[in-house]
Amino acid sequence: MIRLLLAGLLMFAPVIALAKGGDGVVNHTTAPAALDPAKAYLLFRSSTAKSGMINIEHIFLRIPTDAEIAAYRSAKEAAYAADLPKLTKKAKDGKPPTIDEYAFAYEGPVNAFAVDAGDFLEDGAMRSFLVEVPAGTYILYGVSVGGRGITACNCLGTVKFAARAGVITEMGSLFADKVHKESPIPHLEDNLGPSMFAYGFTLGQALVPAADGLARPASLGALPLDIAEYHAVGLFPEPGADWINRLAPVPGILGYERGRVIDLRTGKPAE
Amino acid sequence: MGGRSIRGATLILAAAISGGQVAAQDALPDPATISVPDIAPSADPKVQKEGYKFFFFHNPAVSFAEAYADIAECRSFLVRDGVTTLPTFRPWVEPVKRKPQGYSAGSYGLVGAAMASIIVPKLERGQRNNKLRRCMQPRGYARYAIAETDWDRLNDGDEATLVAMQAKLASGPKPATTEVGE
Repeated sequence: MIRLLLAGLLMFAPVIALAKGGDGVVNHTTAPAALDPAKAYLLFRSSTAKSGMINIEHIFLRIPTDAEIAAYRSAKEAAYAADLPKLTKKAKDGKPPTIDEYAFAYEGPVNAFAVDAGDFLEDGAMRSFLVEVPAGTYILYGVSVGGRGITACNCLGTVKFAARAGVITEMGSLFADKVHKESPIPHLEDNLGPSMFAYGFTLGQALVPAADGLARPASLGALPLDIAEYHAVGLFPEPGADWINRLAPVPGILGYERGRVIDLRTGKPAE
Repeated sequence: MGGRSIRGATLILAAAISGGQVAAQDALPDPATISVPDIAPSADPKVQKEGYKFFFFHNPAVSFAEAYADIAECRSFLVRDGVTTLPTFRPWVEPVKRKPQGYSAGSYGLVGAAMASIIVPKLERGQRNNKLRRCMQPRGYARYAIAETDWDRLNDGDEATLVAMQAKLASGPKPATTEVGE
């Protein structure tokens, strides 16, 4: 009965017509003849698990540039100033929210996105993706059912890597699935317990970095390529996530010690 | 705080503040002054049966201060601020507080609203419980069943008081009941 009601409730969710990916993010379904020297390219293989009939997709966050952060702050300050009279009038105790407490919807360029699982370079048990993105440092941010929301963030630990312009960054392989019970998808921290299904699935993600001998699409053979260098990332908040989880441990890169994220390159807690 | 990064700690603290949560850096209360529910095993079999919904954490290896820090940090992840739609912008270096959207019955009117009123509280409790479990269990905490009314007392009210009560139970005598397993 509850599941039926939940299914009904999900029907009420607002229809969102935004394009996936966002600013400067393009999934290549055929290999480019040459790379745009101004863009970076992420190459990875991904498991193909679904939740029901909906693809489970990987979420990336590009750490914004100083200019992007400045633009965000400026827009927030302007919106706050414009709303302050209304906020003051509404405040029951006469104290409007501070700018840090101010709920702000930013309309500027985006830096967090899910990669559309249906737009791949090569199909197979592990699909290959080539995603054109702005150059920068990327975080494996979480996992999404359908790519429209943050179903699970890697708020309890993850990794980041740099992607240079004009080069393909070989990430290795990504895995994702529901993890309340044992998953057929390897490398995940799964079997967390049946009650971790609570009116919605807890999702998990895993990374296997590129190793010697990893096969790449032959069509990319002539293009310049870097191997991603991963670094551990510590806890971070994501109040828009339905669930929280962590990227599964990555030998030599990402470890955990009593809930703390350990940078296994240094043996120290991650920043 | 342990060795958690300064940046991460700052963000979590900021998120905690923006969501009305307390942070591990707050002054530690005296556990002797904290009143907690009775955790003696209940004679009602329903309590144990529903332990996966109504529970508290316990770890035999932590002090009150450690439990307080762990619970405050993990409860900071309970801050929920509407529904995020991707793609989006995340400033990453500062907390995000977006315009709350919440669930809506949309154009389904009273029937939709009635269904939402049934589902949403259960959904939210499940999400909150699972977030806490995912954060606390790797730190060595196990769950023990507690009556729903006591669970309400441990989870509804002033955040600093809730953290203090849960920390006292978490670091107190080992419960006489079996752990919640599922």
